[in-house]
Amino acid sequence: MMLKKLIVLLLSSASFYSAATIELTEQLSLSGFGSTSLTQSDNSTPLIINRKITDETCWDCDTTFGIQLDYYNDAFKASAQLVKRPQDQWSEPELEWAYLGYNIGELEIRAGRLRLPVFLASEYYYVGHAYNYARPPVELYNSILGITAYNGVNLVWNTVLFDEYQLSITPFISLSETNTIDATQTLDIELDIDKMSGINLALSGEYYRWNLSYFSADFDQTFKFTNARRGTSYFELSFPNDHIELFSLGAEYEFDALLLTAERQIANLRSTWYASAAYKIDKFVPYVQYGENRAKQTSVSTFADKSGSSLVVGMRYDLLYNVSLNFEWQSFKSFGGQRGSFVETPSPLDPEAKLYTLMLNFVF
Amino acid sequence: MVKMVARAHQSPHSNLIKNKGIVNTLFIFCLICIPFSFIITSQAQASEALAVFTLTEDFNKLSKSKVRMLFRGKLKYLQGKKVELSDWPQSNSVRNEFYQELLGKDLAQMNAYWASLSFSGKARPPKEINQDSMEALLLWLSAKRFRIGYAPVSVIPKDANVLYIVQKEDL
Repeated sequence: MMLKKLIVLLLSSASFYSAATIELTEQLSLSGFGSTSLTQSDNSTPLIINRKITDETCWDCDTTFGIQLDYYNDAFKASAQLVKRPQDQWSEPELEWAYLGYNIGELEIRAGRLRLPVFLASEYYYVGHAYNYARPPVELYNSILGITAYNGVNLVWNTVLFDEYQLSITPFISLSETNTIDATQTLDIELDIDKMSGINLALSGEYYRWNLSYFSADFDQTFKFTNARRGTSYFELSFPNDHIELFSLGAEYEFDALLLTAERQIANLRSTWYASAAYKIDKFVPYVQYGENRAKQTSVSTFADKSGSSLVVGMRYDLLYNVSLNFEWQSFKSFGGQRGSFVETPSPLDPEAKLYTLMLNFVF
Repeated sequence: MVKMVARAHQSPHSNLIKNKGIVNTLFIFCLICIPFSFIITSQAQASEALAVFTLTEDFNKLSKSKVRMLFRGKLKYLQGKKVELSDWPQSNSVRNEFYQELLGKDLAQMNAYWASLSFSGKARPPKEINQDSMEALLLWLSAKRFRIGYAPVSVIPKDANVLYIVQKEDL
């Protein structure tokens, strides 16, 4: 059944060869993106939060599909993006953004549901075709409580420095947000975010970009267990009045066919980093990437040391100008009895995993 | 090279044009019918320089660095004005030649790049002209101020405001 779905998806992707963004009118356009994969780990403990890849062949662990509707009218803009994320059922996609924007000179104000601008690829996290690897580095991109969007307001100020650099400054604020992470079969983690605010600075030159972010949020965390204990159908543990404060710095440089990327985030809950290199050879882009996460003492854990790492070796192939394939091997390690990039703590006898992925990405 | 043919032949594909007899017949026919319409064929070679241009005097000449940043979506504003860019259909070789020579990128790289910008709400991709027709580009450019296009130097109007010439050595 899943094989048939994949074939249909492949064939329909091929038909995008002649299609670009669909312009419904001069001012209204429809575009979309998607990814699907065949993936398997060699460890029975689920890997990667929201994807839960195990040692059983999985056709549906990365499946993502999004559509975006944009309306432009001079200074006014409206945009909505509906995404079936890897963790969502097809019948329950997530409204990842829906905002109204207005331009006053080089300043744009946006209000509504917006994407959280923290890391280099945060704002196109679900668009697999836009980056070389199959998934954004899990150490970094899974480090902010699974939050990718917020309800609030931001300001975007674009300015040119010294006639050569483009600087974009984006302060943002959110008043409240609730996120539920489907961590395991028996555990859901609910995050009630009370106040969230931050600022993002992006500096671009011809062949590089730097990204600097700061954000802080107050949140309550509730662990909801269902049928986790014999005889107890449900119980929950609450950790109210928690706080996250995060700094991140990232850079991406192009040297002809070589693309180097590195990012680092330091927060009061954990710190992570990764570095990657990719080299374009005709339609092939071989790449390597290494990342680490380091846990800090928090209200739910006393462990403070290196908790996980991963190494990725992969190849992207541009099948068409808007369809790409990823062939990827990733080796995960967890340390100190911590979960690392596993969804739950793996057996102490088997704290490592090898992950194999074949992924198809497309945009239209 | 750029061929002058009629608008009736609006979807030129290289396999059609390879037949020189048919092309010659069409060419003569079209020259008689609509002499002032142009098609930028998919066989157009950018051995000829490509011009980045507008139809108004709103912008001054641009540096190579500015043009590169503009077509990578890194500049939304140019000399204080919000710009709109155009692109040829992806099947048109002028588009590929333009990005190869200006940025050293192929269509797949540019597509991935613009995907990252448009799906993060940072920039609107260039307007893809829906025909390989110079007339269609000129119509789009003339409909609104601050619109910028590119085409082989030999086919742009004589009174166009050329902002930058993309040469082979730009690669």
